[in-house]
Amino acid sequence: MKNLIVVFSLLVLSSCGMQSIPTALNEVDATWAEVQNQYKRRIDLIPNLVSTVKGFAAHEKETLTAVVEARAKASSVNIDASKLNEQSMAKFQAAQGGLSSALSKLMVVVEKYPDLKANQNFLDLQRQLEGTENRITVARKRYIESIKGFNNLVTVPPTSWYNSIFLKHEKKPQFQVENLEEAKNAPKVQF
Amino acid sequence: MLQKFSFKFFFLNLILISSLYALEVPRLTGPVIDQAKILTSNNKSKIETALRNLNRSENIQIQVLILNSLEGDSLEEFSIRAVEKWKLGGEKSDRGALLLVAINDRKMRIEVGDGLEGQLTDLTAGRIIDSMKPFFKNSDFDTGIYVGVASIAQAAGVDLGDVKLARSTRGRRKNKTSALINLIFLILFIILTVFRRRSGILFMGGGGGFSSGGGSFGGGGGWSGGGGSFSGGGSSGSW
Repeated sequence: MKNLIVVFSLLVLSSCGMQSIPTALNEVDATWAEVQNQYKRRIDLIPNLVSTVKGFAAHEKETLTAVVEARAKASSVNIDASKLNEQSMAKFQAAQGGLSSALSKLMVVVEKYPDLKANQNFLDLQRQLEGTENRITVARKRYIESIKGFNNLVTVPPTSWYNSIFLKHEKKPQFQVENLEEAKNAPKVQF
Repeated sequence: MLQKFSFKFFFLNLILISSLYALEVPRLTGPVIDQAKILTSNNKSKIETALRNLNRSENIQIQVLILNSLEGDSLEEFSIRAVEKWKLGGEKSDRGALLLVAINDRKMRIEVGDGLEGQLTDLTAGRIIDSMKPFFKNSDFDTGIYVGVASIAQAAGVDLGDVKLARSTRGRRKNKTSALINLIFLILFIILTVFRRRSGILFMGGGGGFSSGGGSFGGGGGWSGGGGSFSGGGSSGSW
């Protein structure tokens, strides 16, 4: 009889979120870490890019300074996965979005300098930047999917009941639509 | 708040719907999937043998996919979808790579598995793509593809060895050559029918279609992904 109760309660618990919610939470942690990791990768590329462009287009000071400042802002915003909420997410997106638009302005300016565009060092950096933007897109897509899974678990019964009694997790923030559009349009660096 | 939520919901639906209409990833049938039929069957099987050996001995799984067209899909999105489905490379090692070519779009991409990222950086992948372009511009796809996979293997530290490709019958000589081949087949066909009628010997399938079907991959065995993961590394280009 006792065994029966144990088996029965295990069956109930296994479908109630005891296992699935923490698993989904780990998934969110991992995908968010990857998002930050790829944005960091982009931040790391910028000093080289700026100094290369400077060598050919020194008097585009304004655009270059804008990139450097946006980079500083973006690298100062790091969010721990457990502290993800609408507010911190908006801040993160604003900072990274600022860098995206500063970069795309720089890439427009570069058009005026054929020597720079033919420079091997610049071509290499451009390629790395392209690759990184693609990685960011992939990381964001995976984050969006993991958040969807997690939010379903904490808001849709029966797992949401277990969550509201024991775990009390809040819904996690998604990437906002306008930023997704920006990510699609802005950083295409192809000539 | 409610409005915000429904907006998000709408957006998620949009993603779901768009994924329903996206170009389908083909089944993994062998190391070289040539839907556009641009490779000569002889060279295709040579490349396949090399890739199977590479996978067996070094656990590096390189896949070639040649599409007719992306049908409006984005190159990068299709490419990551393909590797997410196929999971090229081993589960822990993640040493897989995809060489994707879309003939009508004149676009190509190298998608790099997580385990190869250190050796096959975005930059290296980009340079490999550059080295393939001249061949593609000349419509010498056999050599172009081979140069691509051999360079990917080399970046990963493996020499594919000497693979002697047969001369490509594609490209500018294509029309002349295929006309010549057709003529030879036609003459053979006439001789055979005449000969058969006279002697009454039964030729199996005599005079049937002269298809150049590649047939089965000799002793190749199965070909499937091993659970490798990808994070969007690699490079794209067009020719």
